[in-house]
Amino acid sequence: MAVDEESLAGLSPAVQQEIGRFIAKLRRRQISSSQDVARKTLEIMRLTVATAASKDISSLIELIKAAGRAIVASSPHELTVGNMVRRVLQIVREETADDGTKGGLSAPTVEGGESTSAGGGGGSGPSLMKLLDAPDTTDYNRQPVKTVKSPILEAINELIDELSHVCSHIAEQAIEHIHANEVILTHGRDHAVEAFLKAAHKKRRFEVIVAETALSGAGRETAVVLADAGISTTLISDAAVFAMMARVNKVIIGAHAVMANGGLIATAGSHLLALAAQHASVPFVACAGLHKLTPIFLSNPEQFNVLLSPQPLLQYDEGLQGVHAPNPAFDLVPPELVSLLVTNIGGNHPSYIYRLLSEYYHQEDHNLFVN
Amino acid sequence: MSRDVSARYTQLLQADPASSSAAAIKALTEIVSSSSSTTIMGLRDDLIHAGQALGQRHDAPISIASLCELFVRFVTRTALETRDFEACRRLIGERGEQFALSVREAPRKIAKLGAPFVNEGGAVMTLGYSRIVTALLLEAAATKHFSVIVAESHPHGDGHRTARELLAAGVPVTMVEDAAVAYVIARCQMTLVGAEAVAESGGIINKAGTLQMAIVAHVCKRPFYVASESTKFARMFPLSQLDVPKTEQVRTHAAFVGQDPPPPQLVVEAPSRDYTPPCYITMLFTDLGVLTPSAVSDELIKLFD
Repeated sequence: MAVDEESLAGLSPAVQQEIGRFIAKLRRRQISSSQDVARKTLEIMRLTVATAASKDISSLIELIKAAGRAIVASSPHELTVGNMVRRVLQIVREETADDGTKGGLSAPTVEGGESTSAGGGGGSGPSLMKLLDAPDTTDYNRQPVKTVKSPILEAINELIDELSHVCSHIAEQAIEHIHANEVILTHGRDHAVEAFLKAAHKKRRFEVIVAETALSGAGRETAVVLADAGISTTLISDAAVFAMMARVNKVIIGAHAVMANGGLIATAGSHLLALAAQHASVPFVACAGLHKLTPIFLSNPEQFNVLLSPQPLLQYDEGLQGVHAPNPAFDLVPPELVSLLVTNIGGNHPSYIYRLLSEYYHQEDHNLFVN
Repeated sequence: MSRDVSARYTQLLQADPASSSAAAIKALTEIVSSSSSTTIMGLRDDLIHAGQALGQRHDAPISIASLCELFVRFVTRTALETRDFEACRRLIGERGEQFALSVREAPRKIAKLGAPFVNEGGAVMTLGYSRIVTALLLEAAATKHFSVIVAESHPHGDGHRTARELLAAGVPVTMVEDAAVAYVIARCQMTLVGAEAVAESGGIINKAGTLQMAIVAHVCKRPFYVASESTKFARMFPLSQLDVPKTEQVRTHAAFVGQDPPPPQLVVEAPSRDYTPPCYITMLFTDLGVLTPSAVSDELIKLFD
């Protein structure tokens, strides 16, 4: 299936080609780490902005959205793509607003002063405080792209740079969360969690129990990596999670995405882990970079799940005919089971996610498919 | 002065009974434009007195104190930025009118935000009548098939109005008694109610029966959503049902309607509102976005600090 030609019409051939390649890679699962997906998306966005022929900001925004839509539509479960597109859109809006106030485009003094004074760190979203203020009057149609192009590109570069430090920023917080002689339970394989545990190991002695995470066996890989790093590691089967939970001090896992309500999309089995942790009153901590922050509410848990190959569950020649063997990739962990989210800017409670959302994304960009 | 604002509020409410907040905002705006004060401090005092006068009325929105605070804050801030008193007063008047208009737009905005939470083929339980809940369900009904279960909501029986409006739009509705909420919860995908006020804790004050529905939804692990405008955010922190503002009306208890008068020594209690604590609320759909209960306190703290 080709990329929707019509939606990409305004994009330069180079961007179209890049998008096509990226989509193909995503389909073949040649890029799986969400950080790589985020970086590649940002690179495409950078190219889109750099080659954009648009005259005003609103058509630039439309162009970015169109590029984003093409990628998102081809692999909707890679939520990071949409997030990065929204971050770029937010950059464009911010740079435009800054430019507007500097250039004195928005007229009277009262309105001009408000955009800075009323915010109070509350981000771009609407707030009770701002109800009486004049509506946001930034007119994207009248702003020329030329003046803001280079600051936008610069900000995108900063964002790419920030991405490469996500793991280390998360790992820096490790010693605040892992104490001496604790027993940590984890499962699946996640780079942030690995970095987190390794960082804690530099200062503290603790023990890690890894659930093997059938069918992918990702937990086994984690166990090997951690043992190599010198951490005392125990490998258990997924079925033993509940039995081991009584001995565990903390559950630390990675996430595929953090949803708007503070819930997680994480490796299948996470929900079970979270329920077992709740039963034993063990804190359940998730490590996730801000690029995984998704401003979407999931009303239907099946919406973003992916079914993987049934091969590891049921061999082709096993002779079990008429047996269904679904292998879902993800679980949805409800926010009430998550005790803490460790992001690259610090620890947050799931109920605080809404605040991060209004800080990093513009409300109009939450749904990329609506103009 | 205070008698004026009260009388004006009555007029405005009669003209548009749908929204008491819009009427209160208009009344406060008129105070600003008709005030005889010549200083910002005078204007502030007039606003505060008008707010207090409205606060004593039982038909005023519970959130009148925070609405008034919004105005007072805006007056102070505008005064810092504009030196000319008349210009300042004019600006406040204009913004107040815009604000009243935006309050009318709120139900449509909230409906757009909340409609995606209704699942295709699901059932939504609600109680009583709320403009916003009805707007939300109608918005969802434009693209999805689902059914609605309405609890009658004694003693007013407002649920029948909700049922009528939804049926007119072709949404299948089942009416149940308030006491049957637990019986039908198993069939529901979610519960959705409106609010008379949203407290600083993130809890809500709404028609009696809301708390019970919230507890049932909590026990049965169904999401409990609230749809409400941000003008209903009130600076109060109820700790128990005793802190819920009482309504003036004295009514006969529903159970005795059409029966013999109750024995004289029997105490009859018919509360019309109850307080639902935030722990039972999954999300609030407001014109400020989809908020968690703790986000509500955040907004109010920002306003009053």
